[in-house]
Amino acid sequence: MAWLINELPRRIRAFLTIIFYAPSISGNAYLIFTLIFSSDPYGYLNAKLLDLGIIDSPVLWLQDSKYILTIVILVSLWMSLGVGFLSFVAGLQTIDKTQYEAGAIDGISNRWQELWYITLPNMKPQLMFGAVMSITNALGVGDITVALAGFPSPNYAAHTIVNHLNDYGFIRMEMGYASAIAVILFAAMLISNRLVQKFIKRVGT
Amino acid sequence: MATTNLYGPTVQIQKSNFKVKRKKPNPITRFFTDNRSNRSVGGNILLVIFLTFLALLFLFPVIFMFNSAFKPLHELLKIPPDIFVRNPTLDNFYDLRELFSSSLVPLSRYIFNTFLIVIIGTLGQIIFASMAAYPLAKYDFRGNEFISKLIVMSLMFSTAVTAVPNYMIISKLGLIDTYWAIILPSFSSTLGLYLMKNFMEQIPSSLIEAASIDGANEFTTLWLVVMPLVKPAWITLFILSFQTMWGATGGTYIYDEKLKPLSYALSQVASAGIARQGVTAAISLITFLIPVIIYILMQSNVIETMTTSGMKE
Repeated sequence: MAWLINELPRRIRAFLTIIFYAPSISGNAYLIFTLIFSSDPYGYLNAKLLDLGIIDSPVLWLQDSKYILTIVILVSLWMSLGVGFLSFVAGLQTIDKTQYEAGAIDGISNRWQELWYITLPNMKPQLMFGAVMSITNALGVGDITVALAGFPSPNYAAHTIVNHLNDYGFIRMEMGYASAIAVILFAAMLISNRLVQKFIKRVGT
Repeated sequence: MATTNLYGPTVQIQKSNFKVKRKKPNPITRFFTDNRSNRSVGGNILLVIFLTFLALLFLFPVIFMFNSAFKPLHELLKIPPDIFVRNPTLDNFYDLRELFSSSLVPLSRYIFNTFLIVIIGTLGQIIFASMAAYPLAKYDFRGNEFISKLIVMSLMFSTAVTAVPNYMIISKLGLIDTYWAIILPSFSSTLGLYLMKNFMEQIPSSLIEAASIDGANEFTTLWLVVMPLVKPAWITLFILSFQTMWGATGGTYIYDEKLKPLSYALSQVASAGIARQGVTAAISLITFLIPVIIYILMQSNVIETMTTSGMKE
């Protein structure tokens, strides 16, 4: 993503950075999605689809366990371009332009080779940081499901590990069990971070 | 000096005679026709189409929110719905005030709570992060490396992991149902500390030595020499902490209705569903706009800090 943006002229780049970054800093303005995906026939998506004749009765987007998880993923994607993304954008701007010229002389013929052999190795530290931040955020998704689908979500369709933790920790007050979940979550985060770091180390070789 | 002064004026006259206007090529046309690099023009066009599509996808909820906030009732419930507003009104904002004037807690109280939490939390975070980052970045002492590694480790798990011990500590301290339950944990933000430390490492050590020779103690060095130099870092920290504090609902810590922040009020309004969609859009717009405007104003500082955010193995 950040790489694509960096290919553009400077003004447009700054503008697009704002567009993509804005959702993640906006607090819980994501609640607007409850209006878009409202199950009511007056909800935006339903009304539009009914009008176009694609569906003939309103879809219960946020109550039907078939759709909930997809919607939650969609919303968290919308919010996912956070600190890591900014770090990528900044990292890309520091790369020495002469390296690309040198690369062209040495026989790099297209964009993809340029990305793999010059751009990515140059921004490894930022990649590392961005990866860590986004993994951490992704595994910590919990508020979004509660806000969109309620708690617990119908049929536990969008029950994330964080929801599970809150359920046991703060509703059933079984702190021991909740701590056990937290330890597993912690291990999962560390392991996935290590795996990604291993992968990033091999980039460009 | 004297000789150069003699020749100075004549040279200047010549210069003004030969003023050449150079036309700058339009960056957009240059972007599409640039054939020096090894990027194909077809690829460029594809890229623009793809990014436009993505940007629209990201913008759609924002546009929707913006327009719904100004729509009168009959346009909100129109079938088929329009994205864009025809006759913009401020009715939804008045309704918002109306709605809260009849409720137990007025809207202004929620706003006050949020601002109080955000301001104290952010200030505290900046002060603590900079005081912790300064020795870690600039001094060599035993355990420095270990602490730095610990900070990087702590970036790797989210707050959810520590939710249980956090809750227990706060309840043992008797801070449940106070502002401090949200403010105090935010003081120890490791992300802020990490960014601050990386940025401070760029400051030349000679500057700090010079300050100590001139008789400054550690605190004056930090506040008068180092802090002005790391301005982009603490502005970034300000934005990041503002953003997290702004979104805090205080879920498990605050039960007193009078102490809850604005984002909690938003989720309450939103739970009313389609019947109050105009009001929901209005309050969403408020919560959305403030952090975004702050970010736009301080953008370049953030990017500058982020260049130093890289992680070494």
